[in-house]
Amino acid sequence: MTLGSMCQLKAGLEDLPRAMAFVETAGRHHAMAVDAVRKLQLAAEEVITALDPGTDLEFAVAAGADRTRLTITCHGRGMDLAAFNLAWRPDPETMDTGLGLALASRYVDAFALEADAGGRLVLQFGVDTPYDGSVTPPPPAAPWRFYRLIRPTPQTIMAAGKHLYHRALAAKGNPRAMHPDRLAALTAGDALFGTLAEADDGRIVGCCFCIPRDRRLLDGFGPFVFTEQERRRMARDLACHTLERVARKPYSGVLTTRYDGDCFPAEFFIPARRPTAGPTGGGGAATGTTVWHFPLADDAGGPLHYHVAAEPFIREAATLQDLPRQMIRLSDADLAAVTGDGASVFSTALDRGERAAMLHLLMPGTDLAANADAHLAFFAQEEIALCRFFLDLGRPGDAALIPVLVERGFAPCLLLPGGGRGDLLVLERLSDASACGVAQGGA
Amino acid sequence: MNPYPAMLVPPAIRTIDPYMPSKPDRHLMAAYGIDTLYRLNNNENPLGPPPGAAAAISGLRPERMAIYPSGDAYDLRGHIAKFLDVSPDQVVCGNGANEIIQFVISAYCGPGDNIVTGDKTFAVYEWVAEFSGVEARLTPMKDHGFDPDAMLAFMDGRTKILFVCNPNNPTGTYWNGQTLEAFLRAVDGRAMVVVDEAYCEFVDRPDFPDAATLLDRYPNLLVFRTFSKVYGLAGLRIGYLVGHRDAVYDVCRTRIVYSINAAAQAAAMAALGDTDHIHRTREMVADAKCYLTGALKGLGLPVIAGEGNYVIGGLPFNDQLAYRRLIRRGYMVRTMTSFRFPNHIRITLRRRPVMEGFVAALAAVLEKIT
Ligand SMILES: Cc1ncc(COP(=O)(O)O)c(C=O)c1O
Repeated sequence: MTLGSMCQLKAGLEDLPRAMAFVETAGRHHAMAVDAVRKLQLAAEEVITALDPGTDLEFAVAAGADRTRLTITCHGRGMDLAAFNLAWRPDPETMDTGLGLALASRYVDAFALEADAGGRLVLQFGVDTPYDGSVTPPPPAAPWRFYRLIRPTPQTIMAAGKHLYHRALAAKGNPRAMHPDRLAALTAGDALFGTLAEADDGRIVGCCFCIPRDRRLLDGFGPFVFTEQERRRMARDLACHTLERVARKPYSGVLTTRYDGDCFPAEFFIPARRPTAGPTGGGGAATGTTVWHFPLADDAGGPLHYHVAAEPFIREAATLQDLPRQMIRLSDADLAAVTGDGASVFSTALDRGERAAMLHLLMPGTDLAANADAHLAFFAQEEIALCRFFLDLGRPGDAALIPVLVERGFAPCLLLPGGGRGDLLVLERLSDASACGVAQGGA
Repeated sequence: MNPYPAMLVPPAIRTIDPYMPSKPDRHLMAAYGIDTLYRLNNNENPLGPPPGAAAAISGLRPERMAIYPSGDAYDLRGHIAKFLDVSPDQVVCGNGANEIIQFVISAYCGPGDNIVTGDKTFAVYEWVAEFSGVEARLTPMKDHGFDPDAMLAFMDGRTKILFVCNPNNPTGTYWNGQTLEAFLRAVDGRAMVVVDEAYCEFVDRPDFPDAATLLDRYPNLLVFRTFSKVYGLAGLRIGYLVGHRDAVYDVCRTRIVYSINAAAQAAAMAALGDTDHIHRTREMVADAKCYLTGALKGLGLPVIAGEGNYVIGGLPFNDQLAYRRLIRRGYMVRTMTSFRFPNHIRITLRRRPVMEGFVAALAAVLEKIT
């Protein structure tokens, strides 16, 4: 991500014109389209006018490979933090208009709420780089004599992108995600790493790569083989190279959902569970489709909090991965103690293009169930297909969410060893698998 | 003050993730709560250095440590030259063969040049090339060995060095004399050919070539050897290269002088050519290899074993997990994801009782998981 511009402002109407001007100038600096700048301005307006006047805000605009982001940071002290939940609605009794993050998030393609290391709240509004140029179909498969394995460059990944884009189109998936220009931009920004197979005539004949999804998890793509020759051998080589490439990176694991099924080297991976679609699907059962995990982090041990609602899955995963853990089971009586007495806050990263929402627990609270319901209702309204919750089981407050989520159709999918940090339990819920490009199968 | 010194790192270097060596044994033993740790991870010689080298090390006088060693290992080069029947100016010594890899790449490659090697071999050729801004062209192995035709297919006008590890670490495959010579003829002097013979002393095969005997005919040939493996001097860090006089002169342009310490020079002088020691080591390795390959197959595991003092075993689960489980039982193996063999471990061959203990530990791990 390139270093963007930044400015200090105060919430309230007074600084609104400055905020609008800042976003406009920064947007122009990053060569954003006028309507894209307008989207960020609308979101900014919603935030700056809703927060208590005088609240210190830091605005920054930065262009990444995939999208341009407006970041608004505030300290959050003395505020009603519940209003930072994406699903928050004003209380009709007090008629408090409050912070309309749901509305603000509708203006943009991606929204995320996080807390930074200093405990400040960081709101991110992202507008996707368009990547809508037409993509010429890849050349037809021709036999090769030899191939070699190379690291993708912005140029070479474009050739793989042509194949993947047209496959996604044919599969009615999300072609933008595989647009050659997007893959090239991610590669240039060091946000895509992996391996390409290059034939002796210079054609790209296979690929396998990873894109960071979360600070801890990489999304794995492939291997995809674009020729009919020695598909298994090439797929193995591509997977071996890609796993070697990511093994030294500071991630806990790779989760591969899209690959060529006929030659996928499943022997290198651990099957992870993916729930079936529908609000009641999954629920911790071993049904659903297979996605694949490869663990990356070594582990020095630590506490792992869990609840009986996901006990078999967590125990099995901890045993299978031989994690040296102090297992701490939370009883229902413990739950009240670890959830505190305030309102909970979920941190949501919403990606409209991918129709996906990634959630973390930012602050525990007594209203976990109601908050989860509100979020699910909001996601249904916004046609979000995949909902993934990351729970840090090093923290008891996170473990308290397990029964709440499992009751609502989330299924444990992965336990990512923390490598010194807390282990991450990944739970997923699919609302509509058939229609979404995120589910699985070909690109 | 610039608050971002990282911005000074060139973009190509920023994409490289550092290699983190494992922690010292005592830390691992404390972390895993074990009293004994058998190192089966680095292809070291458990018999240690030959007796002559051991005596040379114990005879080192502390007061001599105040004096710089010979900057180019003068006496040792003479000794190696006599041993190989070449001239001393055909020999360069380095702080391990690793350092020599760096000398050679620095000497021959500039921006835009490339090296060609296999994809499942000693990784340092590739790493040094990459952080030197040189493209590493990796060709897939064929039947676990270097594929000469694929390597030749990917040579171009900017190819400066072809690296062949003979026998290969970690797969144990080797090119016989015929294959090596056919390759050298096909390269036809267009690029340097490095034959890394780090493990040559372990090979007892009539068709295994002694590349140093080909130097007269191929001025583009460079041969690497090390004292780290059969000679048991890994801790002292010393290796060498032999080549044609002119090629060696060029390599010396980028060599680092004074990088080989006095202890290493003295010990290597005494170790070189101790055939009894080599013989004892080979016997130990042959016995352990025969036992271990049989035992691994008996456990139902695929085995990749050839020459050298190591064997690869395939596992039905993640190699990092195997590492954790085995180290808790006192055996440290090499995880092979980093060699592009996910779910495989490489095991250094040691004396029979250690191997038996290892097999018992592995059997227990397998039973627990599968
Ligand atoms: C094939 C090969 N070449 C070179 C080396 C490096 O040896 P040294 O210890 O002399 O640096 C090794 C060490 O493992 C090796 O396996």
